Amino acid sequence: MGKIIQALHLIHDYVQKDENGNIESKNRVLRDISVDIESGSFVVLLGHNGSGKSTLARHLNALLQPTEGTVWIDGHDTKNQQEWLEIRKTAGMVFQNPDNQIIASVVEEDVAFGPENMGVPTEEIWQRVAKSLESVDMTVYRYHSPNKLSGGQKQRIAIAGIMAMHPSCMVLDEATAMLDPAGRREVLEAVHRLNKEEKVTVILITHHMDEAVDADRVLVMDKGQIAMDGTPKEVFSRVEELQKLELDVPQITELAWQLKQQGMPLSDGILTQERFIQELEQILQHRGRGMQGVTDSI
Amino acid sequence: MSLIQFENVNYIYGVGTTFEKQALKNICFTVESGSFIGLIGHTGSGKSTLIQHMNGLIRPTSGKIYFHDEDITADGYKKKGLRSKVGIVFQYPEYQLFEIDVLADVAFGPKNLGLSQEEAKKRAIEALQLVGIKEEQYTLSPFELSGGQKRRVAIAGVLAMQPEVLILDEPAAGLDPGSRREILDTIAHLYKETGMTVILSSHSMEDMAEYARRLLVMNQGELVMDGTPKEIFGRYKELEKMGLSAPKMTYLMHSLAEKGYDLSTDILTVSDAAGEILNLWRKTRMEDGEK
Repeated sequence: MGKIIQALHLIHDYVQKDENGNIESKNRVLRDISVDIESGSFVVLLGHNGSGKSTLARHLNALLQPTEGTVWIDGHDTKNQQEWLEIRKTAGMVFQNPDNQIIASVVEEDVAFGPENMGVPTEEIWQRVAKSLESVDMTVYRYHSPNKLSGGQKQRIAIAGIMAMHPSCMVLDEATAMLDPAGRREVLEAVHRLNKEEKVTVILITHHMDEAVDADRVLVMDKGQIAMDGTPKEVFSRVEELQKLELDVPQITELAWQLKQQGMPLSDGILTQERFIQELEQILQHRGRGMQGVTDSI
Repeated sequence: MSLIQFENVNYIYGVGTTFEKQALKNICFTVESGSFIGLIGHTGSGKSTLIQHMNGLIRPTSGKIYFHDEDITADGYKKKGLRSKVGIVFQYPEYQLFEIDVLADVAFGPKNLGLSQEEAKKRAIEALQLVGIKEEQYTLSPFELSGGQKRRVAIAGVLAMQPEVLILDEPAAGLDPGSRREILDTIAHLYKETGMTVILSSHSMEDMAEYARRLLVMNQGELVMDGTPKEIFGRYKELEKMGLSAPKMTYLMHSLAEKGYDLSTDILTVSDAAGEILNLWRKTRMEDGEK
């Protein structure tokens, strides 16, 4: 598998200048980040507010350019302005607020906006629109007005709009943060499906730890650097470190961790209820099952 | 003591238009003074409409709402007083910050109530202390603060009006886990310190389980359940039909109980679940020791 994203010694400073163009203050938000993302992988990016997640995301489709270092998206250097169109076709972005991303008055026109701007022939645009809407399970809303849709539906339309540009990578910057649990589930299912079926690389930025459980890889950012990098199991085994970074672990992971602290021989980084029950049953060895359990053990 | 009382409240949007929609159907409930109430329901269930009725922002199509046994829907009822007594913190309240510094922003409400500059400032400082904003931050622009801090400043702005009831519509939405805990702990602390009545809505059942003492469940404009978190979450199968759920720990305990383990199922939080499982484990080990 190739690398879809490569960042080498990426540094980003937000510079504030006064009226005369003199530098007033400099805030370094990304400090020497080097990371490669495998094509086709599902990566979740965690970190508290201000850790640099969103700034990093904006480097992935050349909305920002490095102060120092280099970022390549599918081999294109984001410092090269001539490459920006190609980069933005490769890496699409979905933002937090569903109401800020929809521009057309009919769903299908909104989805067609991207490919139309890219100069895709009309015939093909309609094919792409149909397919993209299908991929996020929104075909029935094709002729609807977007303003009557729920938040989760709007975000799926935004995702379809990006899919219609045939990107190989999608960056979702807290795209589920403003949604209710049902909306979140819809969006996550759609994104996972695109990753599996269309092999789209997904970079999902979120504050919901449970959304990270099914990822291939979890990156944790802190103070503009990558503080942890591993599988969900590896990262969520480090409960105390995560808490220091003002992050959580999924509740089931925390439960297992608390029990382990009390001496129960559970393994680290349990992520699912099934796994937890399996290990617990081994420890209890079929005892503790009410009256029936007691008679069994005699 | 009954603080707020809803009596057969109905609300219909856009009466007589094609958009006519009944947002509240025959709502009846009473809020006792000093309670901590959680309001749950999926998007569009009527939670926000209900909240806006509580301080007279929306007038019911029919039915009555009482505050301290006074009918706030009656003609001639003075709503200005009501709005300072029933403080609402809306979703994403940090978007409503606007003043040049933190202190001025929080003092804006009391100043509008007609209080002197001095008194308004005093109230603002008290409110900022309650939400844990440090003195050196008073002179910062609200926009220089972190997301969690901004939100606490916005809450202080409502607290400075010295309300008897604090209503918060999804106060933790969109925050990172650290700020989320910070904001909810601030609210719990306020409740403990001031004895103020708190009503809060959230999509996180885990947060509701942790903080609320009584839950109201809205579904399609109706108030369908009213009880303690344990009572409500025990009915998780009904909640699921409404697009809601129980806290994750409740599901775990039910699965274990279904497998025959002698465990309580009315468990809502991680620490309660841990206690229950540890007890069971220790019991089985003691049996081993006896053998």
